[in-house]
Amino acid sequence: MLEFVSNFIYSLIRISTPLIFVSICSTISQQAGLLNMAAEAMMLTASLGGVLFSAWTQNVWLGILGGAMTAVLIALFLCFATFVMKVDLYLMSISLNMALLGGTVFVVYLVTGTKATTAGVIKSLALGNVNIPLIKDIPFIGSILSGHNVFTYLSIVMVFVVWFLLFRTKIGLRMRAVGQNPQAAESVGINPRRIYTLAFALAAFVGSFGGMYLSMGYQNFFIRNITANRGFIGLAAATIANGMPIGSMLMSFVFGLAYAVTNYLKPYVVDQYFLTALPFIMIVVLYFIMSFWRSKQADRLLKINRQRLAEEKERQLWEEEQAKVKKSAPGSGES
Amino acid sequence: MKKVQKVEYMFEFLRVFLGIVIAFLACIVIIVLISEESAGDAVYNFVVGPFMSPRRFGQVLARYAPYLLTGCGMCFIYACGRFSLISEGIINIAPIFALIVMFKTPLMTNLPQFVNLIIIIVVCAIAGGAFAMVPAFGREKLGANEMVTSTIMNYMCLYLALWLLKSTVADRGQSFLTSPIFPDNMRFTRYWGDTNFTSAIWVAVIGVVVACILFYRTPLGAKIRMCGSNLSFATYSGINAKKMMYLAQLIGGLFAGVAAAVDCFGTYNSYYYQILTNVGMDGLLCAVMARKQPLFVPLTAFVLAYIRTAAAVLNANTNIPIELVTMLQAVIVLFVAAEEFLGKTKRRVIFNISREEEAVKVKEAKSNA
Repeated sequence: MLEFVSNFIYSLIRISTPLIFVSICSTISQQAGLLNMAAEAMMLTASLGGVLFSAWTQNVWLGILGGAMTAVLIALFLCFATFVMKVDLYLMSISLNMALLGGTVFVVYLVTGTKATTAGVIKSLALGNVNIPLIKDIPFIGSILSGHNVFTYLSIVMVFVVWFLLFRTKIGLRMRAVGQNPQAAESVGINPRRIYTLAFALAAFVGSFGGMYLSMGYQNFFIRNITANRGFIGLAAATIANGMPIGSMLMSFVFGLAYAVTNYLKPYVVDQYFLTALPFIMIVVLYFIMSFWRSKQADRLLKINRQRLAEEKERQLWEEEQAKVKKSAPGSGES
Repeated sequence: MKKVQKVEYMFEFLRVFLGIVIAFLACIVIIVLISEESAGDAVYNFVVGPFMSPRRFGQVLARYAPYLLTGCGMCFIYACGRFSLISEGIINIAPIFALIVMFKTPLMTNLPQFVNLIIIIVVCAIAGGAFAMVPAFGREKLGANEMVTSTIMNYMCLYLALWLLKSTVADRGQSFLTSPIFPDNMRFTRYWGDTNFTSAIWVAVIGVVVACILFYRTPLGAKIRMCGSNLSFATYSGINAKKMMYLAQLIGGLFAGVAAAVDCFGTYNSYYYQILTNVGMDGLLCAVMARKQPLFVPLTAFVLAYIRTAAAVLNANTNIPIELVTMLQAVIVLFVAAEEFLGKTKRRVIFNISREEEAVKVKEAKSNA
């Protein structure tokens, strides 16, 4: 039983890893005020780019760097189209998603001659699993926390790095300022377009690891549609957590749990289609509940602030009256 | 003033036209580059392939009908400033409800084809409208972003549709998950022998006419357009913007539902969808190319249907993969939807015209004096 539980949690962490990367990637752009609908495209390009570059250079780290750079290129293209050519951002993101779903297959076909996969044709490299020295000897916790892929540990580190970047540095402050009110930020000399571009490039850099985890850690080859709409789920996680890095990570674990449960139940359930639909239903319901709660909270805040404003006004009036009384009192005494 | 408007229309048209031509040329260049020996053959297949036999042209028209309907529906959603992509999921799930009515109730067995088709279309449209209201409700009532909801809901619809199909009307005699074959009185009639060109095209034509009348000639359409182009103005002039948003998304859902009926009961013999069909996304692309004007959707939908079929022909006859065309969609969108593409020239032309008009006015004033 204990072994089953530890196995389950281990696979939960493994499934959640790409979701964490994507949700963090969406977090950055959301703090800058824009939704990153193109996360799927960035992940796909990075996972193929990583495979191709690592096969070409025969060096894992150069491969990872190359994969990340391809994703950043996609982000820069998106920013060029949006901010220079003035295409609607979400329209361009959606069409990029569609285009790269086909485009990656096209590149795979050009390189290998088959359309399905790079396995067996391209010798690409992958990062292996790591055992953490001290922790791995602890009986239950060791089997959960140790022995994961390098990318998994990197994802946890990335959450805190992004949190630090967003809430403790100058650039993060600027991003959040632009996200809250671009006009106000512009009036104090921050160029919103530059900040948006920076945010998207950073988001692509982080999101690319999610794609590369799939093709260079989880497996060591690229197959068509390898991301399988994880980009959108990560986006949903970030939106539900309202763009908070830690919250996004927790939300990714929740969705990872939903996936893990469906995976574990599939052999025992006849109707697997409903089971596959369940995580998506859960996401929509959760999102609606959170939005409802948030809008209620915003209403309450508005009410409280209004009340406070009214009280303050009353107090001011009262003080003015007092002042008048005081002024008139000595005057009447004199006369 | 009218002259300036004319110039603006001309540039809009030029931009769309040039965008499509550039994408098409890029396509041909790539084909020539990657097919070493048989380049001429490949280009021939791509350019005139879809018109070579009634079967292929029937395929073009079979794609044309759902594109028309989803394109018009997307025009409404897009024109009111919302970005709901739910039509993708509706294409998958709406026919299921019609299938349940078809095979689980005795209602339609002995009715004539015309009545049956109306029942199918109405059921699909209602289902589509109902599903489209979910992201709309989330957005207008709760403040949840409709783009996120609708994207997630597309996958939900896909699996829910397969689940419903499996648990109700699936044909157990087939090796894959599908419905029983549609009887002749419950599907659109095939024309030209046995091609995919069906009587569904008339439904699509009626749909476009209805969309155009709704969009240009009724107060509802005017209000929806106003909400999209300037929300504050619409609210201050007394329009209930929330209601308009709901209505626009409802109309989009209804059109997507009809498109689902047209696609499922026209092109196929039984329910075949196992993955998302991309018809909804192509509808968005049509609406974008038509610059949110249902009047131009027939043109853009035809271009898209033609390009898609050409890619399929190319895929079947040469070794060039069909994915080439999906890649070029990004190019089309980049040029067609770009406000700045040809923007400088347009501004200069408009500026020159205004200056000339001003000069004429000054001259007239002088001569009058």
